Amino acid sequence: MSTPSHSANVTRAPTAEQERLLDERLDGLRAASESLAAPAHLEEQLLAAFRAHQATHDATQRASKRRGEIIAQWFAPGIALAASVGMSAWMVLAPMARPMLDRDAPAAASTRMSAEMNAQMSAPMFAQAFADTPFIALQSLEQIALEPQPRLLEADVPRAWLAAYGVPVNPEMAGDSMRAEMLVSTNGQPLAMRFLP
Amino acid sequence: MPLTDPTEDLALLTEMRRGNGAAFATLFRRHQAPLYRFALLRCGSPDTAADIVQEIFMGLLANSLKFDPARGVLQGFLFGVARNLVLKREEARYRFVSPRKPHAESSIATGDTADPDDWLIDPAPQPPQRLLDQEQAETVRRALQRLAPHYRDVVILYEMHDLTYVEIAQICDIDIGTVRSRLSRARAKLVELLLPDFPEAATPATHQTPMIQQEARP
Repeated sequence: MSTPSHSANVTRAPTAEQERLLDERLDGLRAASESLAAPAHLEEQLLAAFRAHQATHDATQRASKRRGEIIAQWFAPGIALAASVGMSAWMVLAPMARPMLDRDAPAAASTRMSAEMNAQMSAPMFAQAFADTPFIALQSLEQIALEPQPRLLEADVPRAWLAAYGVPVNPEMAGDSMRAEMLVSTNGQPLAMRFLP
Repeated sequence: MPLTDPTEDLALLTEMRRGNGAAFATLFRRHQAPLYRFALLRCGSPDTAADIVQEIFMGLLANSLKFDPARGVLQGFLFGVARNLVLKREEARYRFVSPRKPHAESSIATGDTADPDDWLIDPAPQPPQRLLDQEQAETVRRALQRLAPHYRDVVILYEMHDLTYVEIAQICDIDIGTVRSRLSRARAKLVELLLPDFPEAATPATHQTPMIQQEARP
């Protein structure tokens, strides 16, 4: 037995003639409504709103640009000073981080490289190759910075040394040796070191 | 099939966003009439339809409408916005309609079914208001107005704006099968509502037959 709601949902299918008549009526509605459009004043209102919005937008942009100029004007000396300080600090600290790049490092590296490779690599490339592996400071940075003539020594060290610096070491390979570079002071005190891959 | 060239629409929109007032005016002239007609036939009120058109273009100029060209054409997007604005305005009207409340239209789906998607007749119709001068067109419009809103959407977009099932599906956020079935049921309902107005030759069918599937646009 069908419920009232079921019977209510059933709509009789139109015949072909009824469909045709419906199409005619819908075409009539379409033709009659074709001329309908939004009120004419709406366009004027919207164009006025567009101009107002644009003016506000332009004003905001101008104000933002002006703010930028003011900031640049007032803060330029400060920024320049900060940049100078930063540059000075870099000039002091950079040699500390890579002390031998321009002097001993290429020479040390050349011992490990074939003559062909050496010939192909430029000085900046050498510097880059060495720059990739960081040094581990063994003394304070101040002490390293104060060292007048540090030297870079290259040596074979036991792989077990890696463990002392927190690097996991395979016990089976702990007895092997590996290449390391050590930065030493003029009196032979180790300042920093790094392990080479 | 879009009524306007989507590429030109996109170029105008870009120009408008650069601050070109003429591009905005052109966009308005291209789209206002179809949007107004959709809103008018959908909600039956010229004032509301004008408000909706205004709101759409205000959203466009303030860049608060996020149109993505990758997801469809501008025209379809604007119809979608118009539909959402109509739905927003209708919310209050339908809030107080009980889905199980019996309705005068007892022989058809009205408000007596729990699922609002099954309603064929608007359970909270707008007061009748004459909008068209031609008597016959006005009768069809009023019959259309009696359909439930989700049925009205597909009829207006398909019959009055030549949109395809795919475009209507995107605008109404439903699948193509639902568009097809709603259109078929809505047309059958319209025939029923307009039957007294049809010539005698078009007598009602005396037997129950499956609904005729319309020749579809893709």
